[in-house]
Amino acid sequence: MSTRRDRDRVDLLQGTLDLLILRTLRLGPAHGHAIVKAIEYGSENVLLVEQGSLYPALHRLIKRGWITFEEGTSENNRRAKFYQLTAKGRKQLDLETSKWDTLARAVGRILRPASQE
Amino acid sequence: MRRARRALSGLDDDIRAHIERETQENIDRGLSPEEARRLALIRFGNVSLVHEDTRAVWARPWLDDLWSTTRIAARTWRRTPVLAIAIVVTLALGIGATTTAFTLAYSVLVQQLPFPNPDRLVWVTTYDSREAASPAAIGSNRLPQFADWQHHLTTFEQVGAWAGSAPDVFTVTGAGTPERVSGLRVTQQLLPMLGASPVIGRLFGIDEDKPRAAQTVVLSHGYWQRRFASRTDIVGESITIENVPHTVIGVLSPLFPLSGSLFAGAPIDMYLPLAVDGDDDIGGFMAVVGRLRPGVSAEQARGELASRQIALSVGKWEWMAVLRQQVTPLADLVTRNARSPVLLLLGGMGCVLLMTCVNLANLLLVRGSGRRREIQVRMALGASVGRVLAQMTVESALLVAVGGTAGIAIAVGAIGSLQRATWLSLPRIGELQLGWPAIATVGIICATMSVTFGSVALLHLRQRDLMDGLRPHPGITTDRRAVYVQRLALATQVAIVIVLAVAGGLLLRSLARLVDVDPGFNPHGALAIRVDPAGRVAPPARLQFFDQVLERVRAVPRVESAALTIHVPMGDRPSMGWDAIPEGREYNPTTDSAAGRIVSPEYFRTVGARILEGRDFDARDIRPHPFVMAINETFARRLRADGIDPLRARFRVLGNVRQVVAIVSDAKDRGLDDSARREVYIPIGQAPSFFQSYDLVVRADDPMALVSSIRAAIWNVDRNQALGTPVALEEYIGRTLMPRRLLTGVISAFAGIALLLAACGVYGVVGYRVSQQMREIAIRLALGAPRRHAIAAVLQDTMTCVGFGLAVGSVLAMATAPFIRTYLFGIEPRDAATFVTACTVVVGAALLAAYLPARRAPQVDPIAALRVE
Repeated sequence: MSTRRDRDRVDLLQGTLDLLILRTLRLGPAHGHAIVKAIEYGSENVLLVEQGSLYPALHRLIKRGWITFEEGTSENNRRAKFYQLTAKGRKQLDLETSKWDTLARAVGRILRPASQE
Repeated sequence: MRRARRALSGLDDDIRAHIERETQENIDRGLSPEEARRLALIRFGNVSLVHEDTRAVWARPWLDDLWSTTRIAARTWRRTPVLAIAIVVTLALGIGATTTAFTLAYSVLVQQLPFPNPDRLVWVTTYDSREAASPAAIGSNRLPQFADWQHHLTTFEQVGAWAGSAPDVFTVTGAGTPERVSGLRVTQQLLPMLGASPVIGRLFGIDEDKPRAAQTVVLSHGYWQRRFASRTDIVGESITIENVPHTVIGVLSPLFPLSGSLFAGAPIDMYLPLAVDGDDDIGGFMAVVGRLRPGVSAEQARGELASRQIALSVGKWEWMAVLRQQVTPLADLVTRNARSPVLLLLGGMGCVLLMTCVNLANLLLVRGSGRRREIQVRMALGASVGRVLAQMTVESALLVAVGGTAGIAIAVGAIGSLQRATWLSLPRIGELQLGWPAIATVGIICATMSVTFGSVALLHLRQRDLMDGLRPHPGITTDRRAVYVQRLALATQVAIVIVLAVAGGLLLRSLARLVDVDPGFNPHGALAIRVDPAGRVAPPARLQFFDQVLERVRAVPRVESAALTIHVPMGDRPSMGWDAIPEGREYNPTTDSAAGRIVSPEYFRTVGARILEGRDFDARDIRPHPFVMAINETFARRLRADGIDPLRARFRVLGNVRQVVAIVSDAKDRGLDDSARREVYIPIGQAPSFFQSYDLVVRADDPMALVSSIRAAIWNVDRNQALGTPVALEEYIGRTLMPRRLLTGVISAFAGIALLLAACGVYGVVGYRVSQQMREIAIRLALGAPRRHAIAAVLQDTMTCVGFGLAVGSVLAMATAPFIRTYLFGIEPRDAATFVTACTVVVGAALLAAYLPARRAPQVDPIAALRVE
């Protein structure tokens, strides 16, 4: 069972998690489980996010109008909520991606000042 | 909210489905079902936490908190309904009274008049520069002056005028029964200048106030609705007014504020054109209102008016050379009488507000002491002081909201009835309206109250008492500080009530005495109309003119008598100050002054004064016959005290030596509280010729019904004689009483409210004490004390406070009563009877308020109360 400390750890990555969800949904609508799997596989199992934290993140994104959802049936004939990007979400994804790139480049420059290739 | 609901619906299912999928995946990878599920749950995390966190995304924490806090607060108050009701009633009364007073003061003293550019609107009034300065009289300008001003003034943007000083009475005949309506004759510019706009038709055009123009009329909205059922085809129709057909050219918007602002609320039914002819020497009086040009001062305007006056006073108008004008801002003249009563009203309002706050603080304190245990338990369980304070604030805010709303409803009702009380003659009564300033002020007061009382409730909470509250039998409050404040609060309230009650009582008795005063004449069944032949009738012919007028008027059926006087007593203008110098002596300024009046024969009978000795003036008393005069009782008494026979005395008045031929009863002049002084009367036939305008006094059963006939009779003599507004003599007296009535009414109302508030306070406190002291009372009863001892125990403490407050209040009342001496009449500020009555009433009310809840005390069941909860 997670404790308050674990939750704090996840909170640090909150913004990043949102970004990853948006990116995942760019490829098309998906339900919650599928999104988690996509992130895990996509990062080659490096990013093992606590799966439950997906749901508050999804609802945050819904609240801000970046994604929306629909009731649908999944591949094994189960009912599930399918989430998809909105136009606003698409724009936000582009914005966040470029911010992330800038951040990563800046940190990288400090960590490895010599490597300019 | 909807989105949240929609998103959160099925969250359970979503989470469950997710975990199942993960489980299935694990199974597919080869794990056993139980192991798969266990792993899936670990990977997922704490399900209920996820649930909470997801919900929390949508929650608006402060709003939900507020809602639950409010519900708890409402539940808490339900446990002590009596106290809650006492507090709500207190708030309603206090806030209602404050809002009403504030609105009244605001509309009379602060609010701008509801006309366009009100800061530049002024009255122009004319006065005789030879006379001592007297308050500006509104309808004192003459037609030729206005005709000149219309075209030649540069300091004014515009000037407009109406006839007389107040709305006149017109008779409308023709369709249906003849009716008397109130109307105003105005010049063409006046209505547009004051911002009037027509809902149908139009206002007067430029040529329609010229003499011999076709007669037109503009109806007021109210009259149009009443008489013509809001017919839209009314424009172009003809109505017969005063036997002359008038064409209706338009109907005014219902929002036109003239009658409410400048004429104390009496509605004006129609507007007729006032014929302005610069060459005509009709001397009718008009009230003139003008708008100054931006940047022009009243002084500059006065100067220009003075030079215009000089330029005008040539040829046949040479006699006008002594006239000068005053320029006064529009609101000043209207509100001058009401200013100090309104200020006193604000003082009373302050008292009531103070009482309300003290009352509330006391009630909440009493309540707070009973909740110490609850608060201490909560704080022991970890509630922060801020949280508890927030709870308290919400609790008070809840009651303040309810009480405040009720208070505003009361205020709206009070303001509504004030608006309809045209008998009060309140200036600007039509503008009385619950506006944003009042509501904003009330809102601020309520908010402050909520927070203050929330904190007051924590006043007696001290950290070291923490254990005390947790003991099983908390008993009554032992906090000396809180008890002391309670007692002080109650005593203060009683003291304030006494002060207000004594003031109210003194004012009421003064008013009652004043109204009973014999004015020295009979004001019922008489009216006065100003007749001014100046310019039209040359001095030698004037007497004859007046004789003819009197003859015709006396011939009107149902007229009992008619006469002329220079100024009717208690009217718009006071009597004049003359000197009555005993024959053969030198002028002595200290002893020789007297109030003077010029009257025609039959005056005394018409106005209802009594001729005590001698004879009335008659046809003999004209030049060149011997000059005569009459004096009043007071004058005669002083002569007799000096050993002189009044009927043989001779005095020099206005340049001629006159023989006293009559002694008449004293007549009040400026107001019913006038003190007696010397008065002299001289007959119209022997008065200096520069007096030209007189009040025609007519006595009849219902004189106002005869106005048309009287006017017709006068016009029989001179078709174009302009006449003033007919006013019943009783109304003149009423006008002098207005400020007093207003003040008395207000202070009495405040005293009543304060009494109710104090009673509420006592009721609430005693009621709560009873419930607190249930245990004690029960023990006493169980030990055999008679029932009435139980009541006495509860009452004793409260009545001691009341007694103390009574003492302090009496001292305060004694000290402050002399401040209202100017408003008292026939009664001393320290009148014993009033004091005793006020104290008795207050004590009686307090006793009753304390007795009602105390009655319940002996009904306590000892067994039930002694049981440990």
